[in-house]
Amino acid sequence: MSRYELNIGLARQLCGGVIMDVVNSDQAKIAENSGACAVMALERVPADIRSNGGVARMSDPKLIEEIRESVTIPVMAKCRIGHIAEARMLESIGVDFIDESEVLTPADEEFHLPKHKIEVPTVCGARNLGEALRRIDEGAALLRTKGEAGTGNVVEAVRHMRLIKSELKNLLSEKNISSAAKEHRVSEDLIKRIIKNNGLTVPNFAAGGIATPADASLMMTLGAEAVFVGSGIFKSENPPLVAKAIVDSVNHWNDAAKLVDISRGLGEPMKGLDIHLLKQEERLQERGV
Amino acid sequence: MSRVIGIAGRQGNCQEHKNILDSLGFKNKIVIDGKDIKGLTHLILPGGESTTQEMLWRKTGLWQEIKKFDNPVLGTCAGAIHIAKIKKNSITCTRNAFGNQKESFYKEMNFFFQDEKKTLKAMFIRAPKINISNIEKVKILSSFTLKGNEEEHIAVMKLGERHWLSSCHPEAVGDDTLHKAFLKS
Repeated sequence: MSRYELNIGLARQLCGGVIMDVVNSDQAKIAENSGACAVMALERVPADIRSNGGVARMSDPKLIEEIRESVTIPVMAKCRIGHIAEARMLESIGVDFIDESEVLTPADEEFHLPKHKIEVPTVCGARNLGEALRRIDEGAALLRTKGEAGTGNVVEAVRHMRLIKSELKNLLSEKNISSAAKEHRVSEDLIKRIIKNNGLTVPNFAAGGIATPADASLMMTLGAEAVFVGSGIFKSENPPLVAKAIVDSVNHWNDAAKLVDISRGLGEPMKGLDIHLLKQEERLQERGV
Repeated sequence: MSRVIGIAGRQGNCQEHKNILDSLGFKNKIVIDGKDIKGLTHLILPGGESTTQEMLWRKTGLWQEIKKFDNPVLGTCAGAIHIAKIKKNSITCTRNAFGNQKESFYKEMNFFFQDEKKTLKAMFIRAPKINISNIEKVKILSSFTLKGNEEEHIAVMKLGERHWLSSCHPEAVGDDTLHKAFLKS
């Protein structure tokens, strides 16, 4: 049994849950008390990274450690794409999951982390099957849609989840293993394992733009196994209320009557951005293909 | 009597338990609300985040029904933590007792049930430690030691006739030994 399989084992324990972005231990406690199954420790939520500009990097270890001390649920933290040193530091801190994230400014435009060499489980974003397969081949124990982080707009997450599902369906009936491997730039062995498994070999969660219980329910309907919520909670008018509501909405994603109860009187959600108003270079999802 | 097994959902590795039950041909369903528990002959409390699960189960009424349920219950990992909370006079569980994810491990262990010795393969993921305070009603089915330490830890045990606790995840490696034994009860 490899470390990698144990790491996928942890990813599966998170299914049916909500992972929340938090920037301090107070927020982490709110997340835990609202039913988050894990928190993502970072210095700024994606909406603020977007508005602040500049280079976004791994958080201060002090912040990550403070957050870890304040909760008992698993703690995740982000490093820049391909930034092996940041990843090694997070591994040394002993976070439960490393998110190699396009939300931070990429450190390497050619190579992602050699994730099989990292003991701690890693999660990566993907927009399409090719990206998903390459990240698994590199050793990601968990995938998530990229969506468009920090926008409060679910449209890109929907696009990515649908595309991965439809391309995966085609792959499962693919006869020509070697051409599929070439097309997606991954090993033939991985293509064979995916076909044998009749699906991806790691869970696939939704992320990027989820702001309301209805958004979370939509992503679960499309086949997400759990949901990451970034700016959607702590950029809303009433974070504890919204946090609890999104946790409940994942639990009851296919029960419209319950979703009505859950969504009633939550106050203003985060404002959100129209994706079409973003310039190409402002789209975080273009990073790390 | 035909068996209908409920898996307490939705947070956790419900699907892995479901896959084992499906492969064994047992009727099963993931239960969300308290009312879903009616008619179940067996209940499985899966792994996941115990704080999250309890919070959700209390809101849906599942927690109250789990406490009242008088047929066999199997709890794996977080599930064992819940059973320990309900049966706190006999057992307790220490959460994440073996460290964080870097310390998660895999074991192959002896599994003793109904005079048979089998092998149980399982993952221990941020595993809890099961502590026994009242030895009388306890039967240990599987145990393990860690490298460089002689202390024996409980992997699987039965408390009385109905409560099964596992600190590990055989379902995560597709091992059906524990589930088969549980469904004989």
